[in-house]
Amino acid sequence: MDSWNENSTLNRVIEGGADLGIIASGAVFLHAREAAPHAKFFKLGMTHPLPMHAIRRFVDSVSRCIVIEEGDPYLVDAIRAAGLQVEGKAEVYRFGELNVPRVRRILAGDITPESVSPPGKPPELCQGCSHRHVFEALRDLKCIVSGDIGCYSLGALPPFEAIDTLVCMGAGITAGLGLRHVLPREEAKRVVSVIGDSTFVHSGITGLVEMVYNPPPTGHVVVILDNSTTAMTGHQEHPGTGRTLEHQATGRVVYEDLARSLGVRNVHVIDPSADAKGFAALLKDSLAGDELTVIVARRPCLLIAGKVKEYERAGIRQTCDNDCKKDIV
Amino acid sequence: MTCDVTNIVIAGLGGQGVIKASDIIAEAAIRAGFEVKKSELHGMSQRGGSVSSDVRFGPSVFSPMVPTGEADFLIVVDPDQVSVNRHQLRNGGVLITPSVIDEKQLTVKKSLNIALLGELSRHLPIAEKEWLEAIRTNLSPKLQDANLKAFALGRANRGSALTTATPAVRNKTPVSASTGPRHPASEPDFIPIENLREVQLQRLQFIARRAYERVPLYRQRMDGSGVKPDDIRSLDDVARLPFTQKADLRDTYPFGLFASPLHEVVRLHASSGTTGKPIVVAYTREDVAVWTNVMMRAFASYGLHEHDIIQNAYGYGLFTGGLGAHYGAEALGATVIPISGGNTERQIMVMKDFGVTAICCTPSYFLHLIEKAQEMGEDLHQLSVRVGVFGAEPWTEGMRQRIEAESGIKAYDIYGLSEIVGPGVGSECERQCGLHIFEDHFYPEIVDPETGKSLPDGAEGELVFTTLSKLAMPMIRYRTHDITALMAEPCACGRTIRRIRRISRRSDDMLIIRGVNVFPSQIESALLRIEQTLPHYQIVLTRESGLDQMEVHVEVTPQIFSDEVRALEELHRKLTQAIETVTGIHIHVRLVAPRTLQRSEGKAKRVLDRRNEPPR
Repeated sequence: MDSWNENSTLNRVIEGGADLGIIASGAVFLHAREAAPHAKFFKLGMTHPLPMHAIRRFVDSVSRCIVIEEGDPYLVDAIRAAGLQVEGKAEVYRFGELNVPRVRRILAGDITPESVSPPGKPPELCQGCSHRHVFEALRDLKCIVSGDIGCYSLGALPPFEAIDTLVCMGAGITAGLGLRHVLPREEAKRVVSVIGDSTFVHSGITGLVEMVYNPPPTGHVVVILDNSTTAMTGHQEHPGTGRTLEHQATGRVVYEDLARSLGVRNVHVIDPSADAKGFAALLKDSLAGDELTVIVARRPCLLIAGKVKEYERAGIRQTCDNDCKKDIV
Repeated sequence: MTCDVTNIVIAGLGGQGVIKASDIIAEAAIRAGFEVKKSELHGMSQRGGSVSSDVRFGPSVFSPMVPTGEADFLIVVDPDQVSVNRHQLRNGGVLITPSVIDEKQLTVKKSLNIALLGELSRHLPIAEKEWLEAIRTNLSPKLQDANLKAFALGRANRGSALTTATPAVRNKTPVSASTGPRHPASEPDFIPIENLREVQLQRLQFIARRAYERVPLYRQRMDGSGVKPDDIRSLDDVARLPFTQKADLRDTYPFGLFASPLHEVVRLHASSGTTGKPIVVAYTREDVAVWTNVMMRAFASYGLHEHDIIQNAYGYGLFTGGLGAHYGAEALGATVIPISGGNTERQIMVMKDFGVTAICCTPSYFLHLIEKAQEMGEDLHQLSVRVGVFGAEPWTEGMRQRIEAESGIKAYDIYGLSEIVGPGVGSECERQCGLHIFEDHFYPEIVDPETGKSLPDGAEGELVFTTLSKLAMPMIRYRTHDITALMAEPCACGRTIRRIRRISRRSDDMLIIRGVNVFPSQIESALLRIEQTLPHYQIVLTRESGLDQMEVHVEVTPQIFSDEVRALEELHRKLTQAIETVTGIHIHVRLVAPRTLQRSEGKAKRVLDRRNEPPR
């Protein structure tokens, strides 16, 4: 790999003035080209293993050589470790995205405070979203909520500020279990895991298995926020919707059946928009016992509710067409 | 060239179609043949948060992100998002907000984003059909009608519609107004291209006739090539006219090319010639008015106006620079300080004490000013000067970057030559991306410097001008020897007059030292007069304190070299004097030992250019 990358066309030198050489890769290379159009460039196409011989030749060919990279000083450390004298970026530029003005500052060695852009408007859950009722209940019951990745992550922001931890996909259940295990009983009793439907089929199921296998002494409550789509990334279908990515009918994973089959005794399905009080009461009851509970809060995302109906009708029509044909034959 | 990139930022809230609108801009620009790059902030933003998308297009684009404060256009779909995005807009950039659209006229409210694209499209060099096609490909069929109507609504906006829309939303940001409004003097720069071509043809026919009827040399040349003024029926027919060369001006010295009697001539200028005799140029009252007009348009294109204080450090006198800039600046209504060149300390004192906002001089002299100011403990960043009008010698982008970084001003290139009018033949606009030729008065062509054949827009070659309105001294297809190209793409500033690329070199080898034209052939002719030196000499160009310096290294014969010091000193004196006689400026001469200058295998390399090398 090493020797292959030494001669690879993925790495290239762009000729320029010998007084300034810049080593960069990816979008940063483009920012740098714009910031220093007359410099000589070594554009890395593959950054591991580094083509150190080619880099050495490049460094030797210029009087000043600077490595510009986003984030941690990976390239500059590696190149310096190889005994080459190169400059890196000042520590302040380790954080935040680079762009042309910041690269200009790096080249000029400018570490005066940067101007701060005004903050934009933070996102929020849509008006009318069924998740709102869930987070209102969690907030009002002062739950310790282990959240997950999706639209419903917005439950961490005002006016709910209900979510307390947010790590990665699937951690909603497992981190919640961990909290149940380690917190003093009174606090552990308030822990609830919240996970969306597509996240659940993606990486929540193993957590559910763990919950059944190593149940916390206080039990646990998992709320699956089922809006019947992958809302955050653009409404893609997933195994829980019963439709393929092309919206054709296919097999469907039913969370309540799955939970029961794994051995969760208390499994409830409820529409939190239709019965917000009922949901709050159910949650309160579930927290009171020391048992394992899964609540499927089911209400299709209102941005696609109309479309889902269309898909469903089309699905029925298709099934009917096939059946009718069979009948004729 | 980054300056040729158009930067657009579109912003709003999730769900307003910001990303969709940016997709459409990108698609339209691709269809128009541009390179396009795009990046966006999205994701959770669909849930009502701030969203923005950057689109950049041009002949070639590097970074996909619009550098902060460099957006030419900022489109904000939600009025509340103006304040958080305003910092993206460059000085003089265009802000487009919903208040330019009468939302009641939209059949579908959500098509506001596309209506704003309609407004944007009026400012961009992309044909309407590309926009329509981009909208069709990006929207599902059932949404197309409403959105095409919305686009048409925005595109039909006229300047007046914008202002009438403003009072209703007075509490919001005023709108689609470039922060620096167009100066009335600039109107001719924006006339529709068909009208411009019509004016040019009429004037070309007039000037060809005037030259033929009044100047023997032109008549003789035109007769010789079998072309009559009546043969000029289209602008392309300009290529049938014979060229004029600098030698023609010398050969007819002093007044041989005048087309007006001397009593109609109100001004004479002269530029340094190559053989001792200068070139004389003449102006009638009308010619001075045209010159004043084009210089005023040049100043207006840098955003200068009657409130500016302009320090004119071009030399006053026979050189056209001083008076040319002076008249234009006065016509603009600006306060002019006719300080002329030299006395650097006084220049800096005046700049500071008079609150100067713009300075005209050669770029190398301004570099010198920067250094002198530093010595005097003055920081140009702290002074009110914000614009530099630099011309009379070729300079590079690198030099511009240095000037702008070290003084905090915007440095603009201006182009001109005495034979055509003086300064004001062409000038950069606020984009700093090529020089607009005031082609309603000076018709530009690019020809192959070897064959003289006309070249199309975009091709590099020698710049040739025909003056379209100059009465006293019409120039027919004058060969400038400047190598450049007419830029085919329209400028993002919206001017219809074409641009040339900045002049980087000349087809001959003329050098400009301290504003004076010097040819190696002059040096050679001077050396030839003195015995015992030829054939080995070299001209070394360096830059010291921002000024171009010339030194001539001359090999002496072994005999002289072994002679006494006094003989060498005498030779040195004679050489220096001879060069000064021919060129008009003092040039350092250094005598070197026999066979110490590098010999070339082919053509002798007479000029060693070290101006761009780091100081040693």
